[in-house]
Amino acid sequence: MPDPVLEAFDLTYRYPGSPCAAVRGITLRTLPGRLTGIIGPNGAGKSTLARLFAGILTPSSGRVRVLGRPVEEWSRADLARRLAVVAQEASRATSHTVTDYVSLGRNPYVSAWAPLTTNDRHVVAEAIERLGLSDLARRRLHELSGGELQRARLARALAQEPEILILDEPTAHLDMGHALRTFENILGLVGERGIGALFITHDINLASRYGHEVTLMSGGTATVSGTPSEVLRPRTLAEAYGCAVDVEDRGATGYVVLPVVGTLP
Amino acid sequence: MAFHKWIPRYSSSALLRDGFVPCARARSFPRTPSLVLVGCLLSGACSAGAEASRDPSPKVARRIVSLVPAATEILFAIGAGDRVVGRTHWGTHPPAATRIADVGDEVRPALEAILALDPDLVILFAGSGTADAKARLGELGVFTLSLRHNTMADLARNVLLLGDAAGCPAGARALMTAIRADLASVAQATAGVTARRVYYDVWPDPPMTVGRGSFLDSLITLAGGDNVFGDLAAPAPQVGLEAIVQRDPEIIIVPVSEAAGSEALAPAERPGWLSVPAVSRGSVVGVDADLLGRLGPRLGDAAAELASALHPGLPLPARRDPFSPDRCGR
Amino acid sequence: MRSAKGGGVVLGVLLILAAALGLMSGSAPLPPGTVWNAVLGGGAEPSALAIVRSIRLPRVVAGMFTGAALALSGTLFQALLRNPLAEPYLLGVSSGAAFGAVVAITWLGTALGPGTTTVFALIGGLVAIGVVFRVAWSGGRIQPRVLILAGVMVSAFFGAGVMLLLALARGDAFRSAVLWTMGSLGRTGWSGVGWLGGITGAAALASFGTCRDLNALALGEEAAAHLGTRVERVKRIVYFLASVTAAATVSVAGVIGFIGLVVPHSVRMIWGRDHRVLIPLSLLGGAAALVIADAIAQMIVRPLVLPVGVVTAVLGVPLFLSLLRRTRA
Repeated sequence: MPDPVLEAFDLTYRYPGSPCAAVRGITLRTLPGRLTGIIGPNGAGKSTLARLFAGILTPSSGRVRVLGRPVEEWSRADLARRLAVVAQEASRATSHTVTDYVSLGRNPYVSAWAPLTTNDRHVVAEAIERLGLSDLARRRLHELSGGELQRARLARALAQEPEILILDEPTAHLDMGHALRTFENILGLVGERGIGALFITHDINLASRYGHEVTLMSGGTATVSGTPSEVLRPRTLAEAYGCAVDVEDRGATGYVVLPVVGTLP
Repeated sequence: MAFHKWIPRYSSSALLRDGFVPCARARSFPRTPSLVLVGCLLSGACSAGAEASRDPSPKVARRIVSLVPAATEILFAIGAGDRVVGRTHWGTHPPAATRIADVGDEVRPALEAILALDPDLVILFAGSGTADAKARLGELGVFTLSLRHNTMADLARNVLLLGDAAGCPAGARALMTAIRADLASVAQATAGVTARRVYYDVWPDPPMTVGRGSFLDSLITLAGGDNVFGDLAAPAPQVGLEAIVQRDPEIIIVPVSEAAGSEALAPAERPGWLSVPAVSRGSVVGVDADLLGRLGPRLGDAAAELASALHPGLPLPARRDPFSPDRCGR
Repeated sequence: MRSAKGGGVVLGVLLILAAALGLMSGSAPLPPGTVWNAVLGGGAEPSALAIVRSIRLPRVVAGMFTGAALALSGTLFQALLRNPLAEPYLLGVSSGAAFGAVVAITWLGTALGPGTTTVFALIGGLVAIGVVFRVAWSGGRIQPRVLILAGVMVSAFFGAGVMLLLALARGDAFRSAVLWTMGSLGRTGWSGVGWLGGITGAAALASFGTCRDLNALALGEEAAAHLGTRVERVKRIVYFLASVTAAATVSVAGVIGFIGLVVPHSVRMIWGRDHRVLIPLSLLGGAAALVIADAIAQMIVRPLVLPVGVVTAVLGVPLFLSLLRRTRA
């Protein structure tokens, strides 16, 4: 088994001034070439976990290791060369063109004022093409639709030439067609480049379809981890989400999980 | 140029007027005073350029608060010094005045301190700065007299106005005669000398000097000088450093005050001023600001001070003390 | 957006024209031929030579450095706070420096020699910077929202201090202090210009090193961290660069507003938000704008000289509004 790209050991984090821990005793790993999904209700600590993995937050206790080294030992630039994060950001507020925006992915590689090298430009062009944005290369971010913007974000992450991808709600505002395409893209990248990807999502269906492993988080702890079939059990899900659920395995299409109407306590 | 030609004849009826008629402002030097006087009378009234707050009582003022240091001096010089019950912080001349109550700054007088002295007349500088104080005092029933403090003509009016107000008209006339005589003797002493081109440094930053609207310009001419900015009409115009360089004065006169706290920088230390040839030559002379700034009885001394600054070694008439100990009758 | 190189050329030419205009403007009327001769050194009469070389030239150069420094400071503050309304005024530097200067003018006069005012202004500015930083810095981070609030409060406090000092000041000191705060480029000789130039140059070079990080910061602090930016370090550096340049300009030239707000905005509207372009063009634009404003201040009510801060305010706002309308339309 290859070495994990992301590991957490008994990870706990408490936000300053908060009485209870947002994340408690999480032990988790992500392997290269695999997609690890994290699902769970709101406030379960999923985004906090993502930030702990990305080195944004320092754990209250426990350890996070990226590519075998503790995350605190990485300099920010070094980390950005290996780990790319796709999360909520203020992209629309800027007036960047798609090319400029994707070029931001090269920040960890270029020195402050120097122009991009030929190699940098090549990487950027490749990323744009891989995500099908070549026609939109000159457009400004605020002119893009939701789906196009998400592809731009993926392209930017790709321009960082990462070994690890962390995606926090990558399909949050997308329709099902775009959501599907997003996950296809992620799966493709993971397969082609051996990236290890950790994604957080509300979309249980797609998580079950694309995630090689899935972890269900609730109340800051990892309730259950494993393959989708192990995790997506009606009783487990009902306890986590606080409502009765109906789970159906549709095989290739993935699992369909629906809340049962009229059964709230 | 003899001094007496510059003063138009004073008309006592003018004391009673509100308002102000420009004809009497001595912005140009009237060569024919009688013509000016006729013109004034024809235009309806000759204002003295001074304003009284209302028709004054025919009585004479016995308790005067003077917020104009020059007026304090004038009152002492005409023999009415015992009528002054309040003065500003800066009105410390003559020495006898220091025993009088100090009521603060001339621009923002302390109204309560003034009222506590129970005055029947308050003397203020004319102008928008004191308009508020004037209005408040008027509301409180106190008579005020606003004096302009710019030209030689203002001096004549002020002296005679104050003489009337304090009931010492004879002393006032005597004072004017004495002042004229002082100035005439200085003019005589400097009669033959070549006038030196002068820059009078009122304030360094931004540079301010005196124009022909100021009595200092007249004094400079009297003392054998030629004000390089004498063509400007305003009393205290702001000028540019470049203009000073261009007009190239021979000598720079800097009024210096020991009474005032902060002093201005010497010209040689001001950035850019070394390009004025007079500064780089060191042709800078200090004069007593308190003496030169007062349009009052010591004007002759002021002229003499200027003359000795401009023409060192020139024999000048002896200075006399204008503050007589005489009291004028009640 | 127009090209950056084109922008550099346009603004460079504008700066040269502005400098020429500035050299020809002043309270003494000098024909352009005389000015030209005086600059080159030959055949001009001594008073013209003195005026052009000892008064106008340092003034124009001071204007260039001051304008560049103000524009740089504004650009950096706007990037730091992710707020297009940020400018050096906002964070208390200008008020602190003005307070220091007014203390010097109304209490000390020249008791400690020439340059007292400049030194006190600098101290006042640095104190304000320090206080605002201390308030906004907690848990190892600068919090932008707290920074703005602290800056506004410190600004108000020192503003009140200035009013207090003015209320107690004598007439002539009062006038001097008020005019000082309105801004003037003619107050320093070559030495003041020299050290202002040094500070501006050093700050500009240092800020070039933050360009990519500032671009990333525009996406948000976390996003920038994900892209490899050491966010808190960059924020600290930018805060101090922006504040110190602002303090230096105020201590030398008084309070000159609007350049730090309007110039970066205008450059951004025309040439975009990439800081690698924005910073150099703002430097050029700020220099040109202030030199032009100063030329107007010298000429418009000749022989009186208006404070340059008045001109930047009166002209800056309508120009900016018209640019805003044209870009939105």
